[in-house]
Amino acid sequence: MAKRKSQAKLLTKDEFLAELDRRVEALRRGELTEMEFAEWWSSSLGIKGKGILESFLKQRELARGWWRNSKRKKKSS
Amino acid sequence: MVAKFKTQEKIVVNASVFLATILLDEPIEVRLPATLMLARIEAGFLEAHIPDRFEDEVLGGLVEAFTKGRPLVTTFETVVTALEHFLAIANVHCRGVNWQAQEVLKAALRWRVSYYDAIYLTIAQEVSATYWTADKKLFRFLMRQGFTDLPKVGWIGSFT
Repeated sequence: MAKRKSQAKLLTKDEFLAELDRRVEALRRGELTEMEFAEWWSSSLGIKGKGILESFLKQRELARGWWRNSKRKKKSS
Repeated sequence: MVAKFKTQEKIVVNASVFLATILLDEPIEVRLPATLMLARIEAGFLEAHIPDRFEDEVLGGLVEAFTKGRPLVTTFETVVTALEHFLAIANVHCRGVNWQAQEVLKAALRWRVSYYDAIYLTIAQEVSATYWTADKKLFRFLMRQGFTDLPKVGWIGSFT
């Protein structure tokens, strides 16, 4: 029963799009707050990414070149 | 009656900001401002500018998220629909048309950032927009350097 409960929350592509359009229109009219929109967005599109944003930013960091400055080890003599 | 806004603030949005809106395990101090920014863009209160590579960056992140992570309340198809909706309202700047590789290369070397960062910064400079990123290290680096010709840059956690 618990499994069925989580599956029932899934919106189809078309349902999501219709709801998004409705909420954007409500935002424009001032009938919905940005916070309410944000809560709905997170509850409709939530993914547990397991650190993928960090990994995404790390790739950018490596591409810069200057990251090595902070990684340089001291010579032990 | 729909409210009309005479002027819209222009912003350039990094792909990391869009990704932050859907990743539930990102800190709320990043995820919430990112989603509030998205709400203002969707409502037409902010004018978003992005490079053509934005879509590829987000899709790459999504593939990784769906492979490594765990979707809780959505499907890949629905997230892609949300991305397409965003792309339809954003101003997409295309390579060879709105930005040139040589110009971006020069900017990357001048500002000591990656080529990818420089694409966003070059667009922000051209359209006089603020560049928003979830990359705190990049933001701090640029603030420390104090380049006089740099466009305004913001870390998404400070967006209100």
